[in-house]
Amino acid sequence: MITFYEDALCENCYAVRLLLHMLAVPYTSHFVELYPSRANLQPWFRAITPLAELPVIDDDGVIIAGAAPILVYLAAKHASGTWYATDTPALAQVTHFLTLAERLSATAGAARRHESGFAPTDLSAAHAGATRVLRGLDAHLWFAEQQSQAWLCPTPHPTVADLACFPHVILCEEGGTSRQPYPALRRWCDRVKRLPGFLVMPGVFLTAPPKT
Amino acid sequence: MSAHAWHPIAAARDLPPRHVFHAKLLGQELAVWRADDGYVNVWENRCLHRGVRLSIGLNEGQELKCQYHGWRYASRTAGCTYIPAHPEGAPARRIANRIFPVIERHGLVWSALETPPDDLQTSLPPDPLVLREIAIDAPAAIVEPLLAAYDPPGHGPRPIFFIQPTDSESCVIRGVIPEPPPTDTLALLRLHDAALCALRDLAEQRPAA
Repeated sequence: MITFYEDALCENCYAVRLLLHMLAVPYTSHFVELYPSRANLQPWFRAITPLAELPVIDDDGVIIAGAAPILVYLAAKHASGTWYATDTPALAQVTHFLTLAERLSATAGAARRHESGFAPTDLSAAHAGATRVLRGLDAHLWFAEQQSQAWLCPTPHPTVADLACFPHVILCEEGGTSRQPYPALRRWCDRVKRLPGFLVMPGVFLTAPPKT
Repeated sequence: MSAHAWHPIAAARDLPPRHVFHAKLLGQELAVWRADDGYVNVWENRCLHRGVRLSIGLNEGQELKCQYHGWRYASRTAGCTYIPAHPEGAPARRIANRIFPVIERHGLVWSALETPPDDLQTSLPPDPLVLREIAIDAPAAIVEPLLAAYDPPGHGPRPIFFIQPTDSESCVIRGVIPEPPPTDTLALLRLHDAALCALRDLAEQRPAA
């Protein structure tokens, strides 16, 4: 059984929670409050992960830390060929968007933690960095739609790349970045929300079911 | 940049079924959604109940449902049809959201904040090639001369450009190519996209203080 160390308001934990639910992998949740108690800095949690950051999973003794590595681990173990790609270009494409998700976390995510998590940052630099990545993603998805592709990677099934980026995009307005200039990203958000097993977190709303 | 003039506010394909598009024109936020019968609604982006943005609401095909307390508004009229806190009573007839004029034509959705004097007049064909919209953090007045000097990449056909003034500090370039070549339209779209993104970089360079 997986133990999932998480905080309900952490967007990187949300990415992992989404995949756990979409794959219907059973797990036990262990709540580690980031704010205000900063429970992640407690010695017992540092003993699990020296970096002392969420999310972390313990899969019967296998400890994996960080959203992207956990997503890759879970998808490769439980859904290789769908949520995770194994052929050469697709693997690189997935990795590309996993790194962009990290950049979003460091920009849009930092702005959100500044506004609502009492973690001060250089807000204008965070916004400028977020704008750069969001513009790139929006353009990428617009051209994907032109080619009848729904997801970040040109695969028929969504991949962990979509789940890694989604929390940062859907919560960016909490950090003061409007999604209004990014129509293709907004449509992609609707598609992610319609995936089986999708669940919300505070600040995330459902969309209407598809037309049948 | 008149409130009485038609402006493009979205591409027609920006409005898939059951989606709510978030637009802005001359500082006015708009919730734009296509009903299941194809009709495009352009509404003030604000629920009459608590003022929450309707662009985060649910497009249920015939009605738009507010995300917060479930007030429902009918396509076309924007009249409130249901208030969950008062399940027994029909909402008063005067409860209707503010709607704006709309025309879907030439692959674009057009609107105006005040009633335009005339029908939309353009010489565009019904189904031109619509470029990706380019949102720019610079006023329309800065973008206009740059677009006038736009050099079509690859000696291709020159697009026709419209500038959607989103507010006093930003705008959106919407370009269409009236008679695109029959093949390689994706490559053509990419060429123009790259050129327009470079134009955006120029427009957003602020003069040194």
